Amino acid sequence: MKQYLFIFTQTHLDFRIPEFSSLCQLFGIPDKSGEICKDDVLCTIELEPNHVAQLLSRAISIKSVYEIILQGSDYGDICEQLKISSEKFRVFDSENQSWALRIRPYGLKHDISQTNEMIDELVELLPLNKASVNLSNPSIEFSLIEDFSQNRNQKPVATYFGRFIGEGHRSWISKFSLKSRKYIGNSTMDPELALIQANLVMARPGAIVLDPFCGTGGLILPASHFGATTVGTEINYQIARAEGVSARMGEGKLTANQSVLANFEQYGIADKFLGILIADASRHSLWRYGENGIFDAITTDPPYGVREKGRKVGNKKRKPHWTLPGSAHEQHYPEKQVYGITQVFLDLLNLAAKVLVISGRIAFWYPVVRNE
Amino acid sequence: MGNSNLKEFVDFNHKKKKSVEFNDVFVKRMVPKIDYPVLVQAAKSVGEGNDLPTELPPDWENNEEFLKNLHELLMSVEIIDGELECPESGRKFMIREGIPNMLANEDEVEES
Repeated sequence: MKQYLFIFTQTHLDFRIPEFSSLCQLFGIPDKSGEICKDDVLCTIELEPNHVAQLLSRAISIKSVYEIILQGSDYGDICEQLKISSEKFRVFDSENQSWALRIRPYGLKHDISQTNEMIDELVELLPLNKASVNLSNPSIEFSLIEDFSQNRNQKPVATYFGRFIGEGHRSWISKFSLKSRKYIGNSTMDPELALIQANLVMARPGAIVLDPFCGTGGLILPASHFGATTVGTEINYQIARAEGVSARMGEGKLTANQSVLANFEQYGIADKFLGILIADASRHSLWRYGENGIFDAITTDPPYGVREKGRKVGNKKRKPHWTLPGSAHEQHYPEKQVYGITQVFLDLLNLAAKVLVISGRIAFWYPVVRNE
Repeated sequence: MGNSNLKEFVDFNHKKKKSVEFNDVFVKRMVPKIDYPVLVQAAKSVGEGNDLPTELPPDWENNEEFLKNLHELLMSVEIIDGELECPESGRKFMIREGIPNMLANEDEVEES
């Protein structure tokens, strides 16, 4: 095991620990999420190298990871340690290695002249003779990482000299950007949160994942991106069939190449999409559930009755101009009644109890009013 | 409705086949979840699954040819336009543009 420095992203802090913990469980590696402090950007964790690679292969909340070579109180301390640490650098000092050096202060900016001075000094001190410098494509990227996140403009909390290992998958957030997605709705989930949610439910190859309020598929898309086979239900036939006016301002009517399936095709994951059904999430007899469950996970964002109306099938007060009685019409879509938020969540948990496999996961959003 | 063991027959006007890469893990995980004889029966009603035995073969887990045929049925065949019929109640559920409408009508649901 080695000491690693994890640098987390500054968005959605509440999901840092749950995502890390879920990924540990997904890969069957020791759960070190207890060592992460919710409010700290930097965090040192002892892990096996291959476990770090596994975490990085899926993480959205991890910005980058460094293997810690030296750890000290401040820059001066690191310089002193470098003078007596040639043993620790022997493994990096061979002809077929090349290296670069970066200064990465967190919570403070150095001016360029100061950064250059530090680089000059560190390069002098680095006990490397055989390995060459390569700034554009080095095999080893050394970094001096200063943690000023607690005491701005004063002393750093800690300073590390490390080797860059890798980055999390922030790039997937732009891949799934709603701006470029073919078909979106009024309340399609933000792609970063949708990706994190797919991690929370441990979406993976072989898993079958359901979104009972799937809308345009914003939550099952990242689950399929992670290899899960997904299915969604949606009560609103216009949304399910991508009919009517686009949610994008000024786009007008939806066209034939906009649909939930088209979204899966856009990201090259149509083979992981089982399809959608027009169905009422409050009616669980749609699913043939037995003792062992069907779905490995449910990932969903139920309607709160604010931006999206909660609806289920049922009679409502008839208006006089509704002359055609219910099922008389071949292509009839039934009347719907208000589906109160409390009942929505009770039914959702009931559904989960019926259709999830043992130790299957459910992740859903719940609206709260925060008095801040 | 309310039958947790709904068995479907499928009728179709238009179906589509797409090529999907064989996924061994997925199909093995699906087998215990499906009512295999009903699936085959439904498949045959739309002219598919003719390579599949009516009962699940005992060696299914290691029978690669069987798993490939089953995978193709599950993932490659799509009914674009047709209907699902419940053999017990005779209630039909329309499939349009590949999306089944499984909604019960307002006069079929119990008041809540």
